[in-house]
Amino acid sequence: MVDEYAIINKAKSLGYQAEVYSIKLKQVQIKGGDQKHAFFLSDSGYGVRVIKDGKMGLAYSTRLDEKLLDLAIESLKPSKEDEFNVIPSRENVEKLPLKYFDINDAFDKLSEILNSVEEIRNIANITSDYYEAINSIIKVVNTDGIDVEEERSLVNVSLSFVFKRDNFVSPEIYESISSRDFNNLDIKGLLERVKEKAEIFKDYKSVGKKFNEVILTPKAISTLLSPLLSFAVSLENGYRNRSPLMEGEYIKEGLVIIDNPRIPYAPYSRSFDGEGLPSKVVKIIDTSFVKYLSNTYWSLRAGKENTHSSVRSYATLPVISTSLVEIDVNEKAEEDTVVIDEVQGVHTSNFATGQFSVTAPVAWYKGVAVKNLTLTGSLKCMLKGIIGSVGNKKEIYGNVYTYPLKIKGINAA
Amino acid sequence: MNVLKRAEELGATFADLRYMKIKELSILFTEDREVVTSNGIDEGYNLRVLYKNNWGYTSTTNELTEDDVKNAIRSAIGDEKVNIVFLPPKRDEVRIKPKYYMPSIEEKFKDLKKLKEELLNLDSRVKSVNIRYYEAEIEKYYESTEDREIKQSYVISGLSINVTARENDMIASASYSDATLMGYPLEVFDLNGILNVLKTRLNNQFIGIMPKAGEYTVILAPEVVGVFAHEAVGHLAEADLAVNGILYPLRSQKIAPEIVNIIDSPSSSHQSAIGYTVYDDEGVEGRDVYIIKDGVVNEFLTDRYFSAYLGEKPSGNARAEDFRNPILIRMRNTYFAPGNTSYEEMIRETKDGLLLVSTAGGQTSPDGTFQFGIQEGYVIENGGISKPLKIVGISGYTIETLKNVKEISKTIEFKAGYCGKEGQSVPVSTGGPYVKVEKMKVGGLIG
Repeated sequence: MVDEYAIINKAKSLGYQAEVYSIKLKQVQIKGGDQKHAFFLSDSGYGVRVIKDGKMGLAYSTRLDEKLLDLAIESLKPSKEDEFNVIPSRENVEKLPLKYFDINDAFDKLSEILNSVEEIRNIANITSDYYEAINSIIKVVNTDGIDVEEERSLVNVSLSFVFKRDNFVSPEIYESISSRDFNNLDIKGLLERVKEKAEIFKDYKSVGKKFNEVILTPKAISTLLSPLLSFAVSLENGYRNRSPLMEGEYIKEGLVIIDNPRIPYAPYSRSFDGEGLPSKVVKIIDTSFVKYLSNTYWSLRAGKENTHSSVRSYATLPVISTSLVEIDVNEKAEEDTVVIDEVQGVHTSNFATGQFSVTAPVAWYKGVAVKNLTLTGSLKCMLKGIIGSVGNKKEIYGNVYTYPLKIKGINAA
Repeated sequence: MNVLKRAEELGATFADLRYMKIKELSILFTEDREVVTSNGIDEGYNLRVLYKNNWGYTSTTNELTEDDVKNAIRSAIGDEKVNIVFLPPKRDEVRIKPKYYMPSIEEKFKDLKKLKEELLNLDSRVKSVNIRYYEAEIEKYYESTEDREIKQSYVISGLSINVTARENDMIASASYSDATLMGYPLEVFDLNGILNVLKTRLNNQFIGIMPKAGEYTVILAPEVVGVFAHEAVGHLAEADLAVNGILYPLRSQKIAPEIVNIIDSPSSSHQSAIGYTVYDDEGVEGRDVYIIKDGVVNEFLTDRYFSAYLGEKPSGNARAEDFRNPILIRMRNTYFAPGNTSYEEMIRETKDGLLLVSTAGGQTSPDGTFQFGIQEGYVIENGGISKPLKIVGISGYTIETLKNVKEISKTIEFKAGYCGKEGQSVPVSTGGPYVKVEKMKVGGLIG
C-alpha cells in the first residue's frame, strides 16, 4: 500500500529532499432558505514537494499513488535553481487541543443552531445562511525528520440578509461566527447583531458631512485592515519592495499587533504551520514595526528569522500569511463619530501601497444607518491614526481579535 | 453501483450525479523565481437527490457507495417546498478543442522567461514582477434519473501579470490578466499589446493626477462596462438574489433608455469568453438571457428550481465550482450589447469628463450599490484625452447609472475573469462597448 512514508522513502532513495502534506476532512453543511438542504463532504488530498540541487517541484492529487512522486520530479526539471529552496528540519511541536467535537455529532448541533436562527427571519430577509462543521486531519511528513499530524475541528455560521420595507431594500449585510468549539460559538451574540442592524436600518440617509475620524468594528477591521496588513507584513512582499511597511518604522505609541495562531478555540489556530514547523506567537508591531512574517524559503533568502507562518493547501506551495491578528492599543476612545461595520471593494485596493478607496454600505452615525459613504486612505494612515479602542468587548471576528478601533486619517464622505 | 437507481429505490423522485476531473498546472515567474506552484489532479463525485421535495447532497473524492446515497437522502432536510423543472432524456458530448497548440512544460518556461525579461526592462523603476501562467483540463460528466447523460471537456488557460515599480517612496503597480479556451495564452493574446498596456499603467501612476471626488460625465471603456454588466446588473438578476433585491419588483418596467440591452450568454466566439456553458451543472441547455431588453427588466438567471418558481424557461445558469460544492445560480458571459455611436465621436463630444479604461475588480449588493476600482483612466477636456489619472474608485446605484446612459459605441470586447459567490469561484467573461454615462460618483485617490 502506498502511504506518505513510502513516497518519502522512495524520494530519499532517489536523492531528493521531499515533503508530503496531506489533509483528510469530513464536512457537514446545512444551507437554509428556499432550497434548504444539507451537504455531506468527504475529501482528501496529498501534495508532494521535492527538491534537488536547488530545484523544486510539486504535484498533488486527491488520491495517493506512486505517480505523484514522478509528477513532482517532472515539474522540478524546468524550475530554476535556487539555493534557498530547502525542506525544513524537524523542530519540537507543542500540541494544542484543536478537536472539540466529532463530526458525527455535528448535524444535530447545526440543526439546533439553524432552528435558533428562525427567530430573526421575521426581522430580516435572509438571502443566504450556511451552517457548517468540519473535522480535518492535517499531516506533514518530510525527509528531514518532520512527522507531525493533528486533528482540528471547526464550526462556522454565516448569514447574509437585507431589510425590506415597501420599495426600500437595505444593502446586503453579512454576519458570521466561527470557532473550533461549538461551546464557544456565540449564537446569541450573532442574533443580537442582526437585531441591532434592524434598529439601525429603520432609517437610512446621507448625512451630508465628511468625517476624518471613524470607528471600525471588528468586522470592518477583519475585512479592511486585516487583508492589507497581511499583505504588508509578509517577508516576501517586504523583500520584494511590495510592502508599504519597513522594519523599525515608527507606527503608534502603545499599539501592539500580534500574529497569534495559538489560541486553541480560535478559527485560525494551529500547532504547526504548513511546513510542519511549530506555530509561534509573533509580535508584528510594538509601537514600531517589529518584524515581517516568514516561512523557510523567505527567511533564508532574506536572512531573517523564520516565524513559521506558512499556509498552504495540498495543491499549492507554502505561502506566508497571518493567522489570528490580535490588536491592542493602550488608549481608550469615545464612540462619537461614524461607525463603519462593512466595506465593499477591498480587493480593488493597491496592496503594494496599502491605499484604498472603498464604499461602506453598512455604517451608522448616532444610531442611524448612513447612505453613500466612501472611505479613502491607506494602511499606514490607518495604523498610525489609531486613536484608541472603543468599549470593553474584545472579540474574534474573521481572523482578527480586537476591540472596535477609533481611527483618524481615513476620509469618509 | 448505480447510485441514481439506488437513490430512486430509497424514495428519491429525482437524482443527479456530477463527476469532475481537473488536471491543473500553475507556473510562477518572479524577478528571481521560476517554479511550478501547482501541478496535479483534482477528482471527485457529487450526488444530489430530490427526496420528499427537499434537496440532499453528498460529495466525495472516492467512488460513491451505498452509504453516500443514504447520506444524500438523510441530508434532504428542507421544508418540502422544492419543485423543479424536469427535462426530457438526452445524451450529448461537448468537446472544445483548443485552436492553439499547448507546448511542453519546458517550452512554457522558455516563453515565460522571455516575457519576464521584457517586463523587467519595461521601465527602469520596475522592482518586481509576478507572472502566473495556469491551465486546467476539465472533464465533466452529468447524469440524471431523467436519462440525461452529458459529457463536456475543455481547457481553460490564462495569464496573470503584476508589475511593481518604485521611485523613492512612491510605489506604483499595474496588473493584467486574461484567460481563454482557445489554447496556449502566450499565442492567443497579443503580448506586445500587453507590455504596452502595463508600461502605460505603471507610468500613469507616477505622473497621474487625483480627480476631485464628485460626480462626473464618464466614458466607460469595454472592460469597465463588462464589469458593470456583471457586477452591477448580472448579480442583481441572479434569481436567488433577485427575489430579495431591487430588480425583481421592477420586472417588465423600463429602467434605462431603449439603447440599453444586457445579456448573459452561454457561449461567445470571443477569445476571452471562458464562461462557456453549453450545459450547466444541472444538465440544462444554456440559452441567452436578456436581463435588460430595450431598457426594460426582462428576465432572470435561473436554476431548475427558480425556473419553476418564476415560470421562466430554464436558462442553464446553475453552476458549481467543483464536485465539493452545491449548485448556485451563476453568470456565464455577461455583456452590454453594442449601440450605434463611435468611440471617437463620444470623446469628441465630451467637453469635461473622465475616460475610465480598466478596472481592478468590483463588488455589488442586492440594494443596487456597486463599487469598482479603476486602474487606468484619463481626464477628457474639450473633446480630447488629456492627463492620466491615478487609481480611483467609482461607485453608484445601478438603476440611477443605467438611467444616465447617454451613448453606446458599436464595437464590443470581452475579458475573462473569475466570479465569487458564497465562497465558490467560477470562470466567466464580461463584455461591452464604450458607454457614456452622466453623473457617476468618482471616489478620489487611492494610488
